[in-house]
Amino acid sequence: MDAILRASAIYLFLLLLFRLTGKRSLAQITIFDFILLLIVAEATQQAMLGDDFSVTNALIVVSTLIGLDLVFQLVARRSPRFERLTEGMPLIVVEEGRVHHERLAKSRLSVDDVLEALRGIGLERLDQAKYVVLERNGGLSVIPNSPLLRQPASS
Amino acid sequence: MRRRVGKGVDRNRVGDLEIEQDLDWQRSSWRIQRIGWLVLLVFLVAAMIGALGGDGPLREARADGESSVDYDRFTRLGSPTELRIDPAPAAVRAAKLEVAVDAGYWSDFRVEAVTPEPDAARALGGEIAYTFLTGAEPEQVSFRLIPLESGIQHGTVRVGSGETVDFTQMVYP
Repeated sequence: MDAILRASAIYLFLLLLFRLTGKRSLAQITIFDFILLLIVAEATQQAMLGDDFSVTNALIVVSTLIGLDLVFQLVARRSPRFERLTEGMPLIVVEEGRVHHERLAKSRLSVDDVLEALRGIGLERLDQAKYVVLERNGGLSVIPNSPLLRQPASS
Repeated sequence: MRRRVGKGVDRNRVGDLEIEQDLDWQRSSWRIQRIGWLVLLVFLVAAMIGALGGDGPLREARADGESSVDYDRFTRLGSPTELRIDPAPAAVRAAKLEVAVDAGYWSDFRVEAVTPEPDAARALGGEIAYTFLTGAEPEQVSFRLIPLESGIQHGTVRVGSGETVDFTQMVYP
C-alpha cells in the first residue's frame, strides 16, 4: 500500500505541476525544460522507492504509474471536460495576420517564438502567416497565407 | 482525434479555421495557473522557514519544565532528528540520571545513537528508561532518531523521578 501511495502522490504532483507551468514545457524544448527533464526524474526516484529496493517494490511502483496512466486515459476518453482539464485547448495567437499580443503574453510566448515557428515551415515574415495556433502540446502550428509557400525549412 | 457531435458551430470555427477554442476557459485556466504558482510559492516559503521539516527557524522548539527538551517541531519520515534533554540538577539521584520515554512514542522511531552511552536501558511500565552515570552537574543527553511513522507524534520524556515534559511533533511523509 505504501508503494502505491508514494507512486500515486508523485505522479499526481508532477501532473499538477506541469499543468500549472503551462504548455510550453511539453513541445518546445528550451534549455530550462531540458534541465528539468534531466533532474526531475532523479529527484523523485528515491521518494518512490523509499528504502525498499526489492524487485517486488519496483514492480508495484511501475504498475501503479501505468495504472494511473490508464485510468486517466480512460476518463479523458469518456469526459471531454476532464480531457480539457488535463490536456488543455488550442489557442489562436495570430489571426488573419493579426497578432494577439495579450494571448502570447499570458501564454508566456513572444513574437520571436512565433517567427521561429514560421521559419520552421519556410515562411519569412509575419504577414505571410494566416493563422498561428498554440496547440495543446505546447507547439505552434502555422497556417500560411498561400499553401504553395509551405515547404520544410531543412531539406 | 474524436469528432464532437452536437457542439455549436461557433465553438468549432474561427474564421476559416476549424478549431475548438474557448477563450472563457482559457482565461479561467490562466487564473487557476496563477493561483497554482502562488500555492507553489507558499509551499517553498514554508520549506524555507522550516515548517516542512527541513532546516529553518520554525523547526526547533523547546519544551520547558525543570528539565527542558529540545525537539524538532517539524520533521520528516526517514530523516534524522534529534531529541536533546537538559536535565535539572535535581534529577540526579546517587550519581545516576534516569531519562525515560513513553514506549508508544519511542516505537515510532529508530534510535540511531544515544549520547552519552547509557549505563543501562530497560523497558518498564510503558516506558523505555535509560540510566546514565553522571556527576553532580548532569550533562545534556541527546538521542539521534529516525522517524518510522508519519503523522502527529506526542512525545513524553520523564527526567529523574516523576517530572514529565510533553511535546508534539509533526512527521511529514
